[in-house]
Amino acid sequence: MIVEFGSYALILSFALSVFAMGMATWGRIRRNPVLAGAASAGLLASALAIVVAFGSLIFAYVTSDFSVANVALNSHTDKPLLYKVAGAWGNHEGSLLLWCLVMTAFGAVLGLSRGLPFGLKTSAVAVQGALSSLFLAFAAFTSNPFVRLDDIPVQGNSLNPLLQDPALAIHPPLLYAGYVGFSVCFSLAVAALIEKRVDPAWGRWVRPWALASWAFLTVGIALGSFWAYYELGWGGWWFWDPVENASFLPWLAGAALLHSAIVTERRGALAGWTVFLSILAYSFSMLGAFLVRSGVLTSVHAFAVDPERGMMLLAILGLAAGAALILFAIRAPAIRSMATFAPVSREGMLVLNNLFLTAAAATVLLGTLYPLLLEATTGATISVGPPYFNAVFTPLMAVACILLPAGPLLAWKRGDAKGAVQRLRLALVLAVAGAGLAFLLFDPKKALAASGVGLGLWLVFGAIAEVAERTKLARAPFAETLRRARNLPLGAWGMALAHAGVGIFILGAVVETTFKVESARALPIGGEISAGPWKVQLKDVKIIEGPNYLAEQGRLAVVDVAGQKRERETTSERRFFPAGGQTTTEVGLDFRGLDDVYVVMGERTATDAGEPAWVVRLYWNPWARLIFIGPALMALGGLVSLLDRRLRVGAGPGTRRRKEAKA
Amino acid sequence: MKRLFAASFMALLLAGTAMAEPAAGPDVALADPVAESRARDLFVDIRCVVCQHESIADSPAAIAADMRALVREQIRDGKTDAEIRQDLVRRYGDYVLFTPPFRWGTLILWLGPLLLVVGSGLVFWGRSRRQKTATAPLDSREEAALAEWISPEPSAESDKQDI
Amino acid sequence: MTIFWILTAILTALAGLLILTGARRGAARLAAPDDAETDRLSGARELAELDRMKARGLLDEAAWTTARAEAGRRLLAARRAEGQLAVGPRDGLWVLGGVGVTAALALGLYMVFGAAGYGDQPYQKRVAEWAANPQGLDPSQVAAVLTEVVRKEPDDALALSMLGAARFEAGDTVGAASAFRRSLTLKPDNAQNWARLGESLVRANEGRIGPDAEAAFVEAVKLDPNQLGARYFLGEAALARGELARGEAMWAPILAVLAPNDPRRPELEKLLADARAKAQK
Repeated sequence: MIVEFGSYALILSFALSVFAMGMATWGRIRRNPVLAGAASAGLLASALAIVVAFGSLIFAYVTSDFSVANVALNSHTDKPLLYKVAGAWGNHEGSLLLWCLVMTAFGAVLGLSRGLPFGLKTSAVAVQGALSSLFLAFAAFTSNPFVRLDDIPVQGNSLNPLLQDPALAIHPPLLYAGYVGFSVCFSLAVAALIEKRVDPAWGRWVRPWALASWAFLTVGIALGSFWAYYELGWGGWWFWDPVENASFLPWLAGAALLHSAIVTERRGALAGWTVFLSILAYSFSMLGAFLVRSGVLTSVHAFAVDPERGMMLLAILGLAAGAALILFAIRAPAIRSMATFAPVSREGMLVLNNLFLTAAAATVLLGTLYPLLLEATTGATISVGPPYFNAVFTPLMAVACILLPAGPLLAWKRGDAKGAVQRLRLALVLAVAGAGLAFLLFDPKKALAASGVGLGLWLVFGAIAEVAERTKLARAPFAETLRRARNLPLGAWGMALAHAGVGIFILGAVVETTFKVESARALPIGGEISAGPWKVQLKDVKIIEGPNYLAEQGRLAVVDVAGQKRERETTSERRFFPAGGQTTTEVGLDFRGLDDVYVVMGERTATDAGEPAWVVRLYWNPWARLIFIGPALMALGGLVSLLDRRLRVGAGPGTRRRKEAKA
Repeated sequence: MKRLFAASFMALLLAGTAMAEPAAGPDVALADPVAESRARDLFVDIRCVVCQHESIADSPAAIAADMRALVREQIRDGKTDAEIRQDLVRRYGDYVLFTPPFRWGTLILWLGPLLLVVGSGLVFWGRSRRQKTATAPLDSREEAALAEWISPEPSAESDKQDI
Repeated sequence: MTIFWILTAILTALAGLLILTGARRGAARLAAPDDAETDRLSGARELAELDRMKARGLLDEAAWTTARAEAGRRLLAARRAEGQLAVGPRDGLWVLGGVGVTAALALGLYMVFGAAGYGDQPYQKRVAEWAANPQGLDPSQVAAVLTEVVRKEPDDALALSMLGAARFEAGDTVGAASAFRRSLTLKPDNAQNWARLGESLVRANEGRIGPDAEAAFVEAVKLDPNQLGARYFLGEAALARGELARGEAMWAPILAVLAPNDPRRPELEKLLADARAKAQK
């Protein structure tokens, strides 16, 4: 009964989204607030219905109701409770339901927000309703998670044990909050085109949505990357895999969007860019959904695929993005702003930022889709992998990062380039010194890696220089600096944090990739292996039993070769899951400051003497911590910026507005 | 007794692995560290032909181990990197290298983004240079109209400094 | 079934109620600040913003003047001359009509795509049903019931043995071995369980008799020399290794027990004969 109730709720949600779309369209045409109010409430009702539906699906998973085809295919009574629940969104239908949940929820928030002009809000509600209707229709009629089975199996088919992991359980909700958050930016952009008005007020409504979505996406992607790093067992954290690229595209577009929206919010300039990027960001999200679920790309983490559904997703993408882009082409001249600025100015730097990020997105898009397109047109098959991206993407972003610190130090409309460079002198000196030190101290000596270190330091010191400039550090009495720091708006702190985060990420990425050491050997009990400055000894191996697996667990002692640091123990396991017959490895991670000592237990074999031995792979990943701290700082910076008072007015129930109106 | 149970656990584990890919033994690295590092660099560029978008450096598949052994052998035989790559392409097609070939057909792939940046930059530069007429300040009529429309000033705005 | 339809009606009614509330709030909007007011506030804010930026040194004097001019002209030009908001007399009808159509659409689509009346089938409920009617269950269902029994009483060796047998019948050889193993931990002197454990391991290993299966069979025969199944496998393993004497010793009791016209007899005798012939070469 509960399952069927959920099934009904899903269909009701679809009907309510259609209602909202229709009512909002009619309300906008007649400029009737009663109809518009009904439409906004329709979005809210649609969201509540989906919450009911999703709750029913989770109920079915928790009670292991195998009459639901989705549960029978993706669950098992032996799975721990957390993974039964996470299994609800670990498959195509369930995750699509989650996508719809986030979309309708954000639509409800949009519907509840005050302070937007009538025309803009009603048009945005109509567009959001249209998008929700499309995706809800896709979910309800082609990928319905509530399909029942007549012949109920005794036991489920078990979720892939690789996916039974806490990081991976939380990864989809965060990612979808990011992807789908951009749908509101999309709706606001299309609404602005319909209303033929893009001005600073519109910029201020779009910015919080862009910031929040981008921050969620940053955390989601970083979490996925971290999971790959500690779960898959070969120490990589980014493979330029097509599915990874599919999530990276909206991130790049979103980063460009949130910067472009700043210019629109402050000066009303770059109206066309901001609207275009809003459309692009969500189009990339939809493109990603299509690529991952259609089977068109080969990847280790694509969903179980169905080309027919893929075609339908492509149709939705074509319809939504196509209509929006055509509208943009038609209305672009109408929204052109009068605001002018010199090429050397903050706006100019942000234009450059837009260019570079868009070109980076184009690179990733080309690299991901080119093999497909080439094969479709000429039949030739090529592969595009990390060497291509390293050759094209990395230099592009490196140039952008070199220019980055200058941006916040330039004035609006017409900036003083010499002054900005002057203020960055110290940061430059420190960065070059850091690069030099890196070259001399790290072994083997690599000039490219040293310059990468310099670039990362340049960004970090540049961010510090920003804050120092605003608070007149060392140029005024300390009390004055403190006062300025306290009064500095959160947006400034957020910017400094996020930019520093980029620098820290670059430091970690460059050092880890260039200087990591790997070694592998078959070790008997008591055997040793070393990599870089660390040495590992296999102490013992025993069999342990988990809730739904058996494992061989090796206990290893990690100590540095010089013998100075404390010895610590770590364990690594090879797990066997009887229900699905799969074997996975649990990596042993020893966090040593910024570095990771990474140990993987392999297959059982024998030494030449006939003793039982295990293949142990040892990696030393220097500065690996920074690879994940960087994005965390970026997301934190985004969150801090979001809390800035300037942005909060106008993106939610606006009590301030009413106070002002009454005054 | 315990040993028997340990043994039956092992049977389960081994049975499991027997159902999975036959495990390839650990690679035998080349004796010369320079050659081994050449090999490692090549591995990253070579695609495992039976896997989903993995290089032979990362892949646990048996054929990946075979390909690694093949590359090491060819390095030992004195072939250059370019020759090894060509040989692999001859065997498996362009598909086997992660670096796409640089041909007429892939020109847009390699040069597209750069052209995009440079082209857009030039357009932007050109447009900003054409903006010759400076905007005239507001005249008194416009100021009056604006003031009339705007007042009263909003009161409870933030006093915080801006970025 | 009735409860289901009642819940459905409640959900739909709630949605309708929300929408009507929204419509009413929309009507109240006529009294609230309208778009012109919103624009005025935004415009004032924008100009104040420019002043603040100048105060902070982010805009120099000339830039401030021209920026203000651009913004001011844009604001003056964009002052809304649009139509006022208007409500009509039949708005309520429109909204109610919309709600009605939506409800009908939802119900109609559900009848086509849903499975009304199909109750929930939580796993525990199904197992309880099977436990209540043990006749006519197939092995996997029996195994499910016994798994629950064993979960409640982990120290019941008999239940574990039965679970192993059920899983074996159901084809879950790995699970069967696990169950037998647990039973033997509690009661190691059950020869039949040792034999079954061995057999499960053999079947899990696709018919190959590994060292662990063999050890299990050895244990079985040690406790009860009449475990014929175990003897069969031990004999087979011995013959495969070429240990003729052991093979014959293992199979002798089996051959003694089998009836003269038992179809399995010729097979065993043939295998023994082949092994003898190979030994003589």
